[in-house]
Amino acid sequence: MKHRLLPALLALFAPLALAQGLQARDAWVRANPPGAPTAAYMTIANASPRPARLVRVETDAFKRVEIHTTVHEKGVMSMRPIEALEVPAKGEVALAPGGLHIMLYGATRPYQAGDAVMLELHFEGGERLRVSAEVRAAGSGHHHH
Amino acid sequence: MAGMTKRFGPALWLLLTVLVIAAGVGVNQWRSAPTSAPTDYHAYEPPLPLPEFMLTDHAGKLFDRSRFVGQWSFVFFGYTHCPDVCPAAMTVFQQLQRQIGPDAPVQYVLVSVDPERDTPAHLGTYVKHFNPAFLGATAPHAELARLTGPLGVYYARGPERDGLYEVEHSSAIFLVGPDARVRAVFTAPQDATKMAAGFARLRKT
Repeated sequence: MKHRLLPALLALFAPLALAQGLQARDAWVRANPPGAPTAAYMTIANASPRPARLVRVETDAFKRVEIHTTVHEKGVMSMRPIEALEVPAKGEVALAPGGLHIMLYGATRPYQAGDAVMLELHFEGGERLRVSAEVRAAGSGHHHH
Repeated sequence: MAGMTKRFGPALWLLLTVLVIAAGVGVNQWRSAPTSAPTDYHAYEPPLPLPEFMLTDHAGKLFDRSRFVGQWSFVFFGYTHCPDVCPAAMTVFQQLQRQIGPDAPVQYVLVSVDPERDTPAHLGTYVKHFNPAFLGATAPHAELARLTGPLGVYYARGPERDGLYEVEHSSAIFLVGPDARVRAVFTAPQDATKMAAGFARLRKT
């Protein structure tokens, strides 16, 4: 009985944003040259039994934000904005270099490796998730210390 | 049953031996395949000579075929307004340069296929962010075609959305030899360690 009660108790204390079981982890932004757009990467996990749809991302650190997918076809890379990004029920979706990413364009202030960029993820249905993304010089999702 | 074994014994053993040898050869060939025929790059045999072309580098200097002579060059075609793929390729250049060594006679070149936005000054800021020794070069499309055409590099400008557009482009990294002939093409997704190993093999040929 104890193990059934524990998750319920924990849920009471969970932050409001996690009410529907959405979580983002390993969020990072590539430190790109000044004036060039960059991208944010992360893994979004959905613990709920319903799929979630990420429809918009907001930040005050960049003028323009778009959800993009990179398509690699016959040796050609093309990037396309997408309307929404679906996170499957009881599943997760990885945003990583060479694939799905959040394009950040027009930095409102200079940024460099080690800084944090606050992103607000808006899901269909009004749920929001605030994510702190670390600015990294690396080209991959791995830490280089 | 016992009599049959006696009669067919030698023939059975011969058949088994042949089968075992055949299997062994098969396994060995399968095992050695990845090392004897690397799949992470395609070598040009014979190397592909480059035609005459005239680009402008990030310092405003002429970047023509002679700039490839006397050193090895890794060349990527991209653009600086590219948020994901191109910075990843530039990072591969960074890792490659660290593995091959900064003093090796190797240059790293980003050829921009977006000359409208990538002025030499803008290209300079971009490539130097990744390494002060990296080079950027571009030219009007008609001139770019003289280089991209023979290499089979494809690019096309995408639709404009509120003043912003993407350029879809080939994702390959080319290796040009000190004789200004293309030696190999590394296809995406590129791995710097594998590329450095491939380069070590290719530079001996």
